Amino acid sequence: MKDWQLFFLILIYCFLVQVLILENINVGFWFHPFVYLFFLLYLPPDLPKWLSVLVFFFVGFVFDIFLNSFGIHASACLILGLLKPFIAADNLSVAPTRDEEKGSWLNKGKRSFKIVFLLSFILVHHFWVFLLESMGHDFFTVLVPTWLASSAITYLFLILSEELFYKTFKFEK
Amino acid sequence: MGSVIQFIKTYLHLILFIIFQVFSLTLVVRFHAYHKIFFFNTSNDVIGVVKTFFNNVNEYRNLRDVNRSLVNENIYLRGFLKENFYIQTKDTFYVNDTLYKQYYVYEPANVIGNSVDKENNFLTLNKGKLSGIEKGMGVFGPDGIVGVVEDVSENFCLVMSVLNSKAIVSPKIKELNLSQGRLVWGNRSPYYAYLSGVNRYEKVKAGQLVVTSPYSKNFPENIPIGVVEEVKEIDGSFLTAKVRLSTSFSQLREVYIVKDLFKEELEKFNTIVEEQN
Repeated sequence: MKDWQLFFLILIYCFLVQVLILENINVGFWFHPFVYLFFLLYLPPDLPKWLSVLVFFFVGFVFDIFLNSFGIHASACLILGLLKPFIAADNLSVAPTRDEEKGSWLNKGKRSFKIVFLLSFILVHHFWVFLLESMGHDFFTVLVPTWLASSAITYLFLILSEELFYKTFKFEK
Repeated sequence: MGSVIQFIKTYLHLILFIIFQVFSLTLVVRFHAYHKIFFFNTSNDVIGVVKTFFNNVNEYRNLRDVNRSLVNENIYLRGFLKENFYIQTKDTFYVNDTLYKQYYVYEPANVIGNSVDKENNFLTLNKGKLSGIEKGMGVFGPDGIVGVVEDVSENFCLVMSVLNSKAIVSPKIKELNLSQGRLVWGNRSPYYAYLSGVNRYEKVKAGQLVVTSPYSKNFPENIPIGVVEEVKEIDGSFLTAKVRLSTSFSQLREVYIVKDLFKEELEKFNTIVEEQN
């Protein structure tokens, strides 16, 4: 399977899960995962910076339209889009590439990098989304618990989805 | 130009980020009622603080101009104060009569300057040349005579008060119908004047009314001067009477200036008399 086919498939998958499933079922008061980050964070790290910003913005914007939250997700995704190329490039230049290992680009660097990268980006994204949504209201009673719980769910979803996609569909170089 | 393109190329991602971020946040504010209110409230607060600060700075900086404009305004408004005006009435009283030809007309005036405690006292009235006031015109008040116009400007005139060492009035004792002697201000009391040069055999008594004489050059006849209070005999053949003036000079406000319509004609005779002598 080609790169673009995989990511197209991931996009469809994310869309279906986020818009058709998660929007229509009540996972819980504290849980508002944003699983479309799977698509964005697993995008190739060597995208040009400007393209990264553009893609992140448009994906965020499209989900904004469907999640009825004009501007909030676009704004959060833009932050990730700006930061991702720097951090990804940094990781790739330091860590030795393990070509033999099939999987996402995240598996090519250190193991710890993947966890830190995913968690930090998810936390930043979710924090910004919830902050914009609530405008700081009930910060410690609602915002922070929701933020942490949702981020954890999203992280789990990303790990599971990676297993699903990168193990089920053989990644071809 | 090249450097600009290079700059854009280098920072394209940052430029795009800023543009899209502004766009996104605009959407957030635009499409969410709560965010809109929050944003405008917060921004109003911030703008309010900033504007208040700059306003304060500007106000301080403009204090000099504000002061100047306030001073100008004060001057302008002060001009409307009642105290700044004198009433320039043109309602001179004329009497039309076919049998009696009018001799005098009266010009009402207000006292705007007055003194009673000096050796030579003067009054200032708010009528001048523009109202037809001339030197030598008599002035009397509601209670009696006041003085004679001494000097005239465009809008004002200076009146030599009866309370002046140089003032001489031709008196008449009304009860005796006696026009004799002269009235001068003797001591420095604003209440008394002295009638002198009256024949000692005239029956002048205390309580008799002293009015202006028909021979007076400045006044019509029978304007009150005062009341004889005490008769003193001096100089053998003449007596002197102390007259309590009817006019309360210190409370004088409204007066009338006497315009003698035949003054010119009479002056012609006076000059002939003077030439003959």
